[in-house]
Amino acid sequence: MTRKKAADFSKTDITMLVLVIGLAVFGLAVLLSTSEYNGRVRFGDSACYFKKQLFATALGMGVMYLVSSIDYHFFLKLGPVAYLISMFLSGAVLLVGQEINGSRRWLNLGPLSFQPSEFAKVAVILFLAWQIEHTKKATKGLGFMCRTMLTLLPIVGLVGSNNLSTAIIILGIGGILVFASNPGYLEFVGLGSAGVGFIAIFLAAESYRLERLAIWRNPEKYEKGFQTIQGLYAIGSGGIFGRGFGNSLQKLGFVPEAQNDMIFSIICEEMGVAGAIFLIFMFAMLLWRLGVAAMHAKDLAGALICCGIMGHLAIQVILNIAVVTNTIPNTGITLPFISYGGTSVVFLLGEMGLAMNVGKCDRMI
Amino acid sequence: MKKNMTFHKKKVWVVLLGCMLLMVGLMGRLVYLMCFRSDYYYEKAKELHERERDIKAARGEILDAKGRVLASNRTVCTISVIHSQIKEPEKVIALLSEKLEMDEAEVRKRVEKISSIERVKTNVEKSTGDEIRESNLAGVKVDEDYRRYYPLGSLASKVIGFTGGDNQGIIGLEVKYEDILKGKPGKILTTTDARGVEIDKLGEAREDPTDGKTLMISLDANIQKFAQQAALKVMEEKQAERVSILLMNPQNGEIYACVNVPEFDLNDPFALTDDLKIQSRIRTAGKTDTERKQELLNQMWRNPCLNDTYEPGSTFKIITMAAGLEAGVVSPKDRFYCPGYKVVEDRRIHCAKRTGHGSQNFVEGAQNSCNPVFIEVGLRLGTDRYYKYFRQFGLLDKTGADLPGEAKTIMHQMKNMGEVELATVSFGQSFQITPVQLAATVSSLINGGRRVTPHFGVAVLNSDRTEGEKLIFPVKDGIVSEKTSGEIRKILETVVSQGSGKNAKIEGYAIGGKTATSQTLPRSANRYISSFLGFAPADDPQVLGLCIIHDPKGIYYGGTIAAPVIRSIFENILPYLGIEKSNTLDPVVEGN
Repeated sequence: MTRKKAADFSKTDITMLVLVIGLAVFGLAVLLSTSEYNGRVRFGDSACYFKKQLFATALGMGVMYLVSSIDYHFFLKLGPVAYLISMFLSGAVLLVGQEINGSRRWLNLGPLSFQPSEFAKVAVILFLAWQIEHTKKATKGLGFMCRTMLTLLPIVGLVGSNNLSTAIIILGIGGILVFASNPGYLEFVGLGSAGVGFIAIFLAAESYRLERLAIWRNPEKYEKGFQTIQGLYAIGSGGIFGRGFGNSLQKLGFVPEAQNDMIFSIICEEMGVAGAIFLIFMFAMLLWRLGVAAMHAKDLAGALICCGIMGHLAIQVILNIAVVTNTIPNTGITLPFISYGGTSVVFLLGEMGLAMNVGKCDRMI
Repeated sequence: MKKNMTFHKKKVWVVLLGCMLLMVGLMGRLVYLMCFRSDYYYEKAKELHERERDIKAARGEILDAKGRVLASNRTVCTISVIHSQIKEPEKVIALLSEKLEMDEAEVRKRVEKISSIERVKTNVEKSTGDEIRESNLAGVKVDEDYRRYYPLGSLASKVIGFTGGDNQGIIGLEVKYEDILKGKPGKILTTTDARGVEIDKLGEAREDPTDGKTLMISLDANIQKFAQQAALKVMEEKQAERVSILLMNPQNGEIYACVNVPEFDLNDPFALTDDLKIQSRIRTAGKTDTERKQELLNQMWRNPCLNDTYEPGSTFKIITMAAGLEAGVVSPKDRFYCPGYKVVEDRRIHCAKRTGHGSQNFVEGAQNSCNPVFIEVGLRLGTDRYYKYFRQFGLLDKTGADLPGEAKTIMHQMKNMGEVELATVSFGQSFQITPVQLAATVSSLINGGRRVTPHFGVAVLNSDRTEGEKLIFPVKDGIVSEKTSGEIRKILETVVSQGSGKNAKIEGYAIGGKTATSQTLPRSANRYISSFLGFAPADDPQVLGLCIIHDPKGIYYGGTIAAPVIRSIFENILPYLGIEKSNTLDPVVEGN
């Protein structure tokens, strides 16, 4: 038993583990610095946000360990159930959710609050992997694509009704999984163009979305560009090596909710372009390890799970940084492991555990 | 269980590669923002974080000729509260309402208002400010500030002027010498968070203020005070509307005193003087009370010696005399006959003495202030020459005195000046000049012909009162010859010793002078301006005085009421200025 466990551990992808722990610790440190001011001003406790996040990270680490030691096929089987539960929770949050900053996204469970949309992402990865694994027909052609994406529509609708960004992430994860399981390329060009067309119509349908575009082009001219412009001030004033850890000025109430979506701008301000690129490099390394795990997976389900996790991580990192640097119009997406958010970090670490298990099973053969 | 096929692996690679490319793109974007656009955003952020607080510079003092302080600064405090730093609001409210003698509700409103900083009271006495500071309550801020203070109250109010809320000059020397007096404010640059709370650990950048320089003026508070008393006395005795007295050094243009009673209190310049208060109750159609009050304030702040013109009357005969002597059209011995009038063109212009002065020479004409004599001199000169001298003596230009708002001479245009106009101008009517213009012009005619600039400013001192820079005012030589100047002095001495100015006579001093009585427009109102212009010692004038009494009641002859004012002033200030009595006078030009 002990021998088996030791062997188990030895098969863990150490690089991935180091990267995950490194990112989590880095995230906590940055959060401590970034949330210090808001915590002090709002709650009279500089470490207020940090403590909560520390608890969530510790919990997440436990979850990661637990998940990594259970065969992922167990979770794969739970995929459809998880999907149904996530739909239920996403529905419930619309009715009884707690409203924070004008969004109804949290479910209160005693002292803890829970964000169903974070769970929905994992559920979608597992459900799609299960669905593709169990489909009898060939996983190719336009029909397969449409069928698979259609099964996502209920959750996209539920989540998207109050959290557009997460709906986009879920769609993105679905798109990547379908892409990975389908041998063709050409239809994806079609899918891509369809997506672009859809976005264009979606934007044009409501004038406030067009306004968002206008703000993106010229954030200094609009009142609503405030967050964006404050983020840019933070990034730009970082220079090459930054103001030094803990010395950000923009976090002092200038960047609103600095510990959330805009946290990357404070990293830039404190650590400069060097620190920012180092962080992106860490993410890239982790994505690479997830990709490797997907490629070495012994079956398609394992590969799809790792690919889905990789897609999830990649989409959030890329979209978050793109928003913060005003490369794309503003939409609220958190930076994995770094932004404040307990549910997010617990599920992310759980996902990492899942990917590690996929990697381990591969080596068990 | 489906197999993980090669194409699946290839697709994962494609996705991974796509992500990596996007990430490289974002890194590029970051490098652009953080390396190439860094300066721009850094500056923008800095503007956002830094708060600039001015440190006021102490305004320079104004000193009189003897170094006595005329305008100074008093430290006052501004009390503010910083909402986010207040720990014991009730204590703060109690303390501030007690010390500042303010309504508790008013203080409570300020203390409880959520703002970065709220001003509770300004211009608080330093001692009160110190007491509040010593109570050491968190969130209460005591800032020291300077407020202009005039130790001598209303003395020379219209000359010195006062400053406004930002310590900038509003009227008088305070405006004219603003650049010298104001200094340069310093700055404190602090970094603050979004609520405006300063971040202590970053400290502050400080740029010290440069205090204003001290201005020394020629006005002598003792002389001014004496002249003011004399003016007040005659104003009361004659129930005059107002009295102006100007005393200056005819040799260099320095003004010793410039009195315009009623004066106003420089420490409370927005309070109307008593007589104006009465006027302010009279409603004027189409004007609000505020407009009316502002109008009266502007009137109160005017310096009539400089801002207003008047018809000089007979004192102006000095100018006609100078022109006639300089042109050689008249000499002291020339004889004239006065029947009590002179006909010019179709007009009969009367002499003050309707019965006529009869036969007299030019000097006697001056002593009698005989209009026909001076009309004759004017006519001998003719319009062109008269105008030429008018200009040469500097009467068409402003004097250049160092006070704001000097009024221009109001004179006929040369082409419109017929014989009648020339005749009236010759004895000082039908045109207007400022008192300071008259004093400066006569000074220049009696000092040997040097056109001096009347002025107050003498030197700019450093703040430790060591001399910095002497102020220099233009002097124009040769507006009349030395010889003419001497003749004028001698003739004017006889005006006092033997003529209409005999009330200005002082035993032991040779005084020169000229009286004037003119009727103001409209002539039907029977309002007069009585004046006297005197100087001493007559052979080498060191001081020149001009007294103008507006609208005296009862006897209104300048020689009777204005000359004694100058005499009483001269009696006191000549010894004060160190001018010795002398009994060995040069023989005066004999009349006969």
